[in-house]
Amino acid sequence: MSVPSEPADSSQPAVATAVPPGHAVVAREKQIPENGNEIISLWPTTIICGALLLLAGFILDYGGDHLSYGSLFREGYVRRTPPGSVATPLPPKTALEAYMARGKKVFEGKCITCHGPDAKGNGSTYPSLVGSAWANGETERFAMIILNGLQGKISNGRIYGVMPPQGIGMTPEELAGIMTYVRNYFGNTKGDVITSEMAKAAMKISAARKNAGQSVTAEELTADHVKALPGNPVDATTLVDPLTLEPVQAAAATAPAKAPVPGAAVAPAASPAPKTP
Amino acid sequence: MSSTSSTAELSDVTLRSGIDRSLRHPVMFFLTSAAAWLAVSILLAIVASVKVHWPQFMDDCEYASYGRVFAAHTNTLIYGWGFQAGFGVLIWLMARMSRQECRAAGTILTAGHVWNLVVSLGTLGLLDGRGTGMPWMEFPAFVWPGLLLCYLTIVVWSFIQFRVRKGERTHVAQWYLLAAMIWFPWIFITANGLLFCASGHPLMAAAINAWFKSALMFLYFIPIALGTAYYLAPKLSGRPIPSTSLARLGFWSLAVVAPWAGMQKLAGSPLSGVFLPYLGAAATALLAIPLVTAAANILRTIFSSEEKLPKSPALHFTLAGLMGLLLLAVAAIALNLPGSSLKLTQFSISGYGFEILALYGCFSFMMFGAVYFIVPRITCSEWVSSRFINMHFFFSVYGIVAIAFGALFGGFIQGSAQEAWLQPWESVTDVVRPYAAVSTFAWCVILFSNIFFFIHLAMMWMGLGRRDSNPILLDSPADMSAPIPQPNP
Amino acid sequence: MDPTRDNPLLRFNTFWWAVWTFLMFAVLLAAVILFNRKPPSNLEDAAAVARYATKEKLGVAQAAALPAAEIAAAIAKVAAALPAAKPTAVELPEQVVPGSPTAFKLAADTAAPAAAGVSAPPAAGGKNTPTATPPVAPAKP
Repeated sequence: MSVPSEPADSSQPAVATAVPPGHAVVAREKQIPENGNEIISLWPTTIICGALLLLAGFILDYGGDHLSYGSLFREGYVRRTPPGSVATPLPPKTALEAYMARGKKVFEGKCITCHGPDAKGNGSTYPSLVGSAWANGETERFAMIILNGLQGKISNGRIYGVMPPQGIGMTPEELAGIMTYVRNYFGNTKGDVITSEMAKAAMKISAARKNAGQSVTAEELTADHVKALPGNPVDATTLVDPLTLEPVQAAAATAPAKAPVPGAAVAPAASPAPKTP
Repeated sequence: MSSTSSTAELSDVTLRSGIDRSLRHPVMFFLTSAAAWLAVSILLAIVASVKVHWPQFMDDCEYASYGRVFAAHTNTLIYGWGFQAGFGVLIWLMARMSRQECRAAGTILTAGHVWNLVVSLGTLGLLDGRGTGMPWMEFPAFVWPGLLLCYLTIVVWSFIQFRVRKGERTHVAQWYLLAAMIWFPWIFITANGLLFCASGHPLMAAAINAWFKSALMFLYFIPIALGTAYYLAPKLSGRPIPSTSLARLGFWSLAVVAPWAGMQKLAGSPLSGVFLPYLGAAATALLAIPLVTAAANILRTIFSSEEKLPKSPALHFTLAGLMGLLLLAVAAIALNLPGSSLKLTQFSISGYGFEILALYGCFSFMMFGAVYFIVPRITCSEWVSSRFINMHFFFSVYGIVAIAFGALFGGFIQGSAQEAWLQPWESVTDVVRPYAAVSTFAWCVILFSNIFFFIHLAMMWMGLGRRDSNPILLDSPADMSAPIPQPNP
Repeated sequence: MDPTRDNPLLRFNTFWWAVWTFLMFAVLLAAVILFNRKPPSNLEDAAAVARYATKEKLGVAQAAALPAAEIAAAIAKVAAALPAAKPTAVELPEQVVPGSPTAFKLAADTAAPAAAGVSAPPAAGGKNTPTATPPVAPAKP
């Protein structure tokens, strides 16, 4: 900051005599000198700034995909078991309950908007699933409808709206879950469980259709798909792990009733570690 | 030659005195009003801190419930003390460095009174339970437009003064002050506009609020503090700032890095941009660069003078502020390591310690230094008692060290207790209790120190300052009745 | 900036430029917000619209139903009436507080007639007693 051009000789008290009273404060102020032109010493500055930049980059790395607004949690995030406990898996449920729980999520995500919260549809565009012959009938036919959508006449002979395909991005567990749910809820009582194995087979069958990619029609269903899906039937009361839907040993069934007590050694022998869904 | 030089010097003295005279009403108003708000804020801080370790204190008074009182404490500290002290110092510094008299003193004074009114209404509304619940934006929603308008009215004249300034080059202090003047409307409008006027995802609103806190600290308060220090250090020591290029590095790194900081508060939340909190953490850690370069530059300015330790009170406080700045840089790194300290201290009192370190340990100390420098110049009298200044200085330093270290370390302990998930949650509050007690005690010490400040400032305001040409120096003997002739400092 | 350039026009200019600099951020923000308004594009946004509408209605209804002044007045009235009220006598077995001495006496009296083979009197500590005593409504003043 340059200041009007008098010398910076501020050590002389001589000015005091000419200064009006009360301005002594201002008078004795030093003038701000010109800024120094020392060059930054390059090496220390570079090393320090470099180290801090590396640290910042290391911190930033935790964020995963930068500028990606897509996901809600870090990639590869696995919930760690807190220190001091063994990994207590979720208590096993019966196969029916586990698959229905999975299917309930799918239903409330996808199907409820058209078929309604009670699956009764609206009578004109969306048919009811309660007591539906196709929903409660052969599993392969039902699976084809869900995966590919449906056009034209339905089981009761009437024509409703077009059902869009739901198979894109659906996992076999979800497919198995939604089929089990519809067949055992809303007043349907088939009592059977469609397993993920059967659902995987269904997806293969669906991809191998002649009109793969287009919705099914009543004719195609009656001609090709009136059969049960291949796969081992599973008894509805078998105990499975709710996350992986794999059967667990019966020995573990004694532990599940109480809530997982932290620190208690409740490690069922054969159940796999729960994977994050 | 000496007569010409003394004539020129005299005219310069007259110019500077004229500037000081033109500004005396607004600046004195801002400084005294800010001091009053500081008193209010510290009292509220004490109540809030007591509530943490002794919740039954004043539990029948709904106005003293923790949520209201703590919010009132932080908001009065910022909008009452911080902004008004900042205004007083800002307009004086900009006027002096542009060597322009202030022609709008009446307008500024009016705007200052309106600011006081608005902040008072906001505080009362807050204590009545109408706070918004967003940290540092807790005043009811009608407050922020009023604050913005007052701000514009107060600060626009400094812009004009800068534009018509005499002299070719700009001083480093002017860069920081000008930048702070422009950054604040951006931060304030963005945060308040998005949170109060637009509707969006609530989680993002929390992120924007966290960003606002950090941006207000690092893009308004810290630049004003740095600008003040960059002015006072060469002015009082007579030595030049060693390296302009380092100053430039410090300024531009602050400008580039600080706007990204802030969202680390939300690490681990299902924010739809998962990288944002970690970006904030990285930027906060990187802030060490501008803080340390500025501190290094100014420290070298001060200590390159002949005296081993400065005697001027303003420099004492500036040094304390610089120490606060360095501590802040260390804390910024220490609190933001994602694997370890970020998740430990995220929900703990460390955040509060960090904010108080920035607002009081750095900014307020620099403002105190500026006050001790400016007030004699606008009242044309000298400070009365070096003992008062010493009390103010040392007890403030003790207090702020206690709070900063207590809260920063206590936050780690608290975080570890929170992570001990086998224990009931109450054990966390048991762990924090001693740190809250330390915090209460520290605020009491700070209040004690500031009593001296308030008395001293009030004396100067009432015209009871010493009419003397010799300044207060902090190593003078205790008996100031016989002023010892000192060489011009 | 040499001093000869300091003139009222320059000051006037600078004043408005400064005001614009400050308020430009508001204009930019408004522009950004306005240009980013889009109709609800996925299920979450559509559900959110309904949710916000519900929230509004709830807020209005709550404010109407809980006027602070009336509640304060009501509290004052009840507080005044309470000391004047006499405690009512306990007449029905449903009014007995489980775990109180009266309850034990009552249980002992009813257990004694059903004499032989009856198990020990109910465990101390009303909370753990798995009796079928229904929760008792507090006696009204």
